[in-house]
Order: sequence, then C-alpha cells, then structure tokens
Amino acid sequence: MGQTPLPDPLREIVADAWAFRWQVELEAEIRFARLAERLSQAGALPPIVDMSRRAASDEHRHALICAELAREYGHPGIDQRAVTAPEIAPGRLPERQRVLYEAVAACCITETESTSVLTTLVNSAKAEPMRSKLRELLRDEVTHSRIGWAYLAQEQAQSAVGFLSPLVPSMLEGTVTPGLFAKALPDLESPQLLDHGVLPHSAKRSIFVETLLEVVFPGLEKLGVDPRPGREWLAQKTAAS
Amino acid sequence: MDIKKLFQVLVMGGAILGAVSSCGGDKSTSTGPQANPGGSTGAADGGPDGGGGGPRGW
Repeated sequence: MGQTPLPDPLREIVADAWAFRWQVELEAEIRFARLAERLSQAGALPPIVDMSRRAASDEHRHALICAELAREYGHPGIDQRAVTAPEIAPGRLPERQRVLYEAVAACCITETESTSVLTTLVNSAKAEPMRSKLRELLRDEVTHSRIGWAYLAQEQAQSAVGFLSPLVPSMLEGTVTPGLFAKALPDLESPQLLDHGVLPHSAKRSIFVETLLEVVFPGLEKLGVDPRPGREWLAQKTAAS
Repeated sequence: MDIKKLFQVLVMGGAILGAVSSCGGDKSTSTGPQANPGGSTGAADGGPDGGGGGPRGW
C-alpha cells in the first residue's frame, strides 16, 4: 500500500481503528438519514436539509472505504446488521429541541472533531492511496460539520437555544473515545500509526482538547450556547488524566 | 489547514449557510428548557430519559 510495513501488534491496532470507523460511519448514515427528515419537519432551511440527505449517502461511501481498509489490515469484519443509531437527545425535550440537540451533538461536536482528526491525518500521511482516501473523507466531514453550525445559527435567530448549554457535557461524554484521557500502552503511541491513518493516543487526546477549545466552545458561544458547562467537563477530564 | 482555522471554515461557514444576518452570539443565552408547546411525551418519543448522549466519533 506504499506505507512502511507494520509489525503485527501495530497492524492489529490499525485494523481495529478502521473497523471501529466503519461502524461509526454506518451509525452516521442512519443518523443523518433520520435527521434530514426531522430537520425538514422542524423547518430547517432547504440547503441544510439537502446537505443532511447527502451526508447520509456520504457516510455510506465512507463506511465502504473504512471497511476496505479494515480488511486490508486483516480485520475479519463487523456485523453490519447489528449497527444501530438510537436517538441521543433527552426524551423530555420537545421535538424541535431534540432535533437541535441531535444536530449539535452529531455535527457541531462529533463531525467537527472528526474534521480535526482528518485534517491532522491528511497533513501527516505521506503515502498513497491512504492520503487520497483521507482527503476524500475530510472533504465531506467539513460539510457535515457545517450542517450543525448552520442549523444552530438558524435556530438562534428564531428562538432561545440556551437550553443546550447544560446538556453539552452529556454530548461530550457520548462522543469521547473510552480511555482517551487515560495513559495508553506504548504501541498505541507509535508514530508509525500516522502513515496508516491512525493517530497516536496522546495526539488524539490533544487534538480532541484543542478542537473543543479552539472551535467547538467558541462556536457554541458565538451562536448563543453558554460553553461554561462544557469547559468544566473538559477541565475535570484533563485534571483527572 | 490547521485546527485554529477550522473555526472560520466550519462555524462561520455554517453560520453563513444558516442565513444569519448577525452572528453576534448575544441574543439567546437563556438557560433551561423552553415550554413544550407541541406536547411531546418525552421518553415515549424515543430519546433517552437522562441527560442525553452523543454519537461516537473518530
């Protein structure tokens, strides 16, 4: 594949990472397809609804890319039938607020974080075809992130969006990779992983934190959502690590 | 493109798409849930009972 050969333990880490992303992309396909319909019913601007519909098919294509890479690195595959994407917004919220919650959690947070990860990976991966595949994924994730920021901006212009503020820690807790703030085994810190589209553990953590501080929290504040509960969540996580 | 530039690309790019005339950010900072004019039944509509969650990411 043009990259430096990997020892087996690192190859397994890479295979698992791409298999995990395969599942994540399938979940996102389901979520965006559902979100598009709910955005339409909630009165989202047509371009936002169209972008969400396209995002569902983008995510399907992404899943195929991730699946191909997972198999190339030796992963036996995942059970696609078991992939689900249950609603994440608190059931006590009215529908319009639940739609906004889902858009913010999925797009403003998760897709923004994915964009940061992919930006770093594209800048780091030197070999083809990995670099081209990462570039394709990155291009779409930019649009997916904007769906959330666009809808939050639309809603902020029409109604109060401050109810989201105390809910941001729950969004972050759901999106963060388990163990991200814990010390990792040495193999997970290998810089060799970068050429294969995987971030070393500590780099992943610092990119997650930097993206919250430089993009997500300022973006939420700009669009009417007090970021202080999210900042407090992050302070607790980083203090404990 | 570095992470610092993503604020302009994603947040401001999205805000423009959302057709917001002003992105001042000081309009809607009230906290607490709004009233429920639609009469949603909450958990019966499919969401979790607790504080919510977030989709897994990369």
